[in-house]
Amino acid sequence: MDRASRFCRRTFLGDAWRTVAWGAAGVVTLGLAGMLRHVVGRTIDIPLPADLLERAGRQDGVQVDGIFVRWSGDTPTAFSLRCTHLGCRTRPDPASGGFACPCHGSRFDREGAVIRGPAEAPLARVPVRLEGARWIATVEADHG
Amino acid sequence: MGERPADGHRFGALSLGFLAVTVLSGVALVPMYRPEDALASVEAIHGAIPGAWLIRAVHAFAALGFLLSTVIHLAQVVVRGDVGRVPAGIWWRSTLLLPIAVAGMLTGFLLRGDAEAIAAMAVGRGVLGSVPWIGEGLATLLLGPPGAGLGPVALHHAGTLTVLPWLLSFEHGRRAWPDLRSLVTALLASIAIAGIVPVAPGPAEGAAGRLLGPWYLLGLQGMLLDLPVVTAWIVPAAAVLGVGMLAHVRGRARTAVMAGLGGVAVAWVGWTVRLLVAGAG
Amino acid sequence: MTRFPRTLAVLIVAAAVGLGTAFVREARRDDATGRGPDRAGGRTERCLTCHDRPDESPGGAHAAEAIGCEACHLGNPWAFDRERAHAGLEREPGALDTVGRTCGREGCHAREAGRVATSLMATGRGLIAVDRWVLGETPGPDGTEGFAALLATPRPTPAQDHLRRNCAGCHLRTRGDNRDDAVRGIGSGCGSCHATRKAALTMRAHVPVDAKVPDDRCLGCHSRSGRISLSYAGLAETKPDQPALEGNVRLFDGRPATRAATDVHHEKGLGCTDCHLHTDVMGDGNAHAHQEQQVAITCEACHGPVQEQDERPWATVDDPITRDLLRMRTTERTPLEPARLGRRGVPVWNARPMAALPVEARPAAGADGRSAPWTLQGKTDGREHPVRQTPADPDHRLAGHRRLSCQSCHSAWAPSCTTCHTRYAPEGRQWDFGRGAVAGGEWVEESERFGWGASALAVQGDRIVPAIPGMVLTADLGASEGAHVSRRLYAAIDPHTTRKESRSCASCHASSIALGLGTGTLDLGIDGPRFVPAEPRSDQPADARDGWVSLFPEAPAPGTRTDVRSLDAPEQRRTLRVAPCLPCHAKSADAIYRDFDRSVKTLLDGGSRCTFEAPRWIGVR
Repeated sequence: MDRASRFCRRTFLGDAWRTVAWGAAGVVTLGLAGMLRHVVGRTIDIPLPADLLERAGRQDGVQVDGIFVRWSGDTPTAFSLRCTHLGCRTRPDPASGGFACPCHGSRFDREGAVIRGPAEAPLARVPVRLEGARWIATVEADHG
Repeated sequence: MGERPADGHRFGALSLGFLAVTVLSGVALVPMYRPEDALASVEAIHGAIPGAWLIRAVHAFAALGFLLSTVIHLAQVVVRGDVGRVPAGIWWRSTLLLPIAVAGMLTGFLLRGDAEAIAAMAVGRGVLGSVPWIGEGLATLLLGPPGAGLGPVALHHAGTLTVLPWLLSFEHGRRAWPDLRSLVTALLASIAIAGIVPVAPGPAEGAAGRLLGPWYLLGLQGMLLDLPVVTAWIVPAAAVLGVGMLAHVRGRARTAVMAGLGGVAVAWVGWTVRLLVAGAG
Repeated sequence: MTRFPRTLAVLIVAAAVGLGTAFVREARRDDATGRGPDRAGGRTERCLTCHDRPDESPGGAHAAEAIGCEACHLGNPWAFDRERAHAGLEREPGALDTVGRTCGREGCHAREAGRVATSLMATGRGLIAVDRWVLGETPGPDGTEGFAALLATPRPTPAQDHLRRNCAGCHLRTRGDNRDDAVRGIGSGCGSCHATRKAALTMRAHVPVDAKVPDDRCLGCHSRSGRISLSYAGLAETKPDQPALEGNVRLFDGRPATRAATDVHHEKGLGCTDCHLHTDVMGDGNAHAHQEQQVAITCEACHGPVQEQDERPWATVDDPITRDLLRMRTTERTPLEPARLGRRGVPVWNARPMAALPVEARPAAGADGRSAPWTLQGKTDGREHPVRQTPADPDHRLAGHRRLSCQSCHSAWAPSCTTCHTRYAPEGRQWDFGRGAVAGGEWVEESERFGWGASALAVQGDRIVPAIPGMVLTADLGASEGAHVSRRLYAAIDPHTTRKESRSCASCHASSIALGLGTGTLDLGIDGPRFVPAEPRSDQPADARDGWVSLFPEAPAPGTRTDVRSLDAPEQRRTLRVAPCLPCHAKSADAIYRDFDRSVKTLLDGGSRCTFEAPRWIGVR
């Protein structure tokens, strides 16, 4: 028993350097992978056609490609429907008039503010700009 | 096919049989699957291509068989006190078969490309990203950069998660191919279950109600209702470390580790129930 | 001897059970996903898993079990959930914006869909061009603007706005959800004619989809303006406040109407498509400017007189679409069988020589093959109708009648609306088909009454044709524009009120209506013809309010086409100079009509036995 125990410990220590070496290689790989994020395109343009914006005015907001668009004065505004907890796409919640996350139950009001966790941050605003005669929203690549 | 395995390692040998069935059925699915149009191709497997759904079901249940027979084998070894019979390095690496089996099944779940899979992908990215320093790299390495679609996941599923378990099984059991008995058993069992229990992708856009992850991760999903995101990787990592540590601890310490693992299992079940109840409410 | 391992035995049994279950499920999958992959165009479909009621299939050639649902309705036939299955669903297959992927997909009706897209029912070119010209926006009644462009115009002109609100609903490109009350229930694109929704059907029941188009599909649109669908069925639209008449009825959309003489073809059970050829309704691939240019059928195609180019053997008929039509109806024509042709050589495939039919299939009335050497098959009911040929008698061989179209004599009546006032009311609200919503502003159409009776005569090209007040109107184009338009235009028309008996000689030769003068008294006294209008025009008291042209005008009045005009002064004279003779010489066969000029000359020179003291003016040609 004692021998076996010593044997185990020795093996453990003997393997340690290899573990460290593998670990170091892993961290370098992960670092490189992490940098990939900054190499590939990070934003996506979502065009907002006129009929969609017209509908957004009539229905007080419409969903399109994971964002929610509504009129604020004479410009459209948008926020991402990506839950700020873990990134699931929230859905309109008829009960509250806001949005609910189907994964872990976070709730947001119709302005995107948190009503109930686990999410802590409000739904992210999405910039909308006018290009020529077309409105375009820009979202992060992982906006969900 | 080598000699028959000793009776004490029956489930160990069987796991290799299940792995072989999983890989072979997976190969058969390759020409039918398109990661860039995932759900549509899975729907075609279930609707358009005669008999393809059965291959997919065999694939899924053989993978489950691999995980279960590995776990049963581990439990038998622990109960019999055979933990010290393999070198510690091999023990540790063999321990990795558990998360690797789960990763294989989980990536298979992601490859469906339905609403649940898309949500699970987002959650996975979020959980991996919560690992300090290396989180973002880990997420990118395993799931691809954001917006990359299911291509990287498909490559890991078919490549990494085929090579690694086979390699580790080979190192552990000293055989590259399953024995005929294990292979036949695994094949027949997979076909039996696949024929009877239906497997199908979920909706593209989930209807009302909750999106659920794969059944074996529901405990983790439930945990996230109440605990910070980091627990979603700390708890499974601790469980794997606990199993690995079994090779180094004796007596009370081992009892403590076993108790800890038991506690994780109970909590897992508890949070699964909590999630399902919350979902119903 | 080793014992067979028990575990293996259990596993084999379990796998057998599993495989057995799998076979059952595979059979059900096969059954549920398209009733057999081969029959659904080599594809399987999951639609029928949910849509399993027999009445959810259109049946016939388009039955779901034959071609599936996706071929027409798009969507995702392999999806597992409702949302995904219905993603991209086409609720109105045939709608022209998706027709290339539905009815018009390769291998189905691509050729037809292409032709329809350029046809007048889709473009409305004629309608648009005339309306814009009449309202003073364009220099002439011909144009190339189609409804697709018109409906997308961000800033419509008054005429464009008028068309968008009052006319665009009948346009094939307008979808079912873009409807106001008047034309609700009419599908869009191909479905407008081939699969119209009907309120009477149960909610989910599928309407039949086939080539047989009953008249009620045409009625929705062709009961307006020229109102040919109504006239054909013997109905004349009235105003709600017009005095109650014998035989008052309500039309399908609530408009009041009264009974008038029915078209003889309708009486005999012929529908619109029995005469009208596929190119008439769906176009021939050419973008024609006006309806009468697209229509290829003629009276003569069936009834003769048959000139050489109107009849030729089927072997020389080069019309692949007609060939397809015959194939789809599982019938054929032998190469030497004569074919009757419409304009541009389009064959009237359902007209056949009586002799080509087996004796038992011949209609009783024409079975001898002499009184009716031709027969016309009903396209919706398959009934054979004997077709008598225009007799070579004096009625049809009168020298002075050479330019007359069949319709100018055989049309019993035509509708007329002569007091039309169109007004733009900025304060009103009306459906705008361009926006698919109710929008501010409204076009209000008012008239004192709708009339029906004998039509006027016009000259179109080199033919005399019936004409009705097409655009006798005043229009106020809105306060902001300040424009006021007043028009006095007649339109040539085939009234679709054909009768075997023709209108009387006097109804043309002694009628102010026929001459285009309008309602009033025509005094054919010794000093020359004089016209006294019943309701004089305020600006020109010698003319009638509902008239088109003055008596013996300096120039003929224009019509709604560049090639349409009223009779000019010589034509009016030539028509009128027959009138004094009519009380005695009422038959075409009368000897004086063999050479009327000579007869008149003889009469005026006193060389005739006639005791009638003829007015000298009948001698003026």
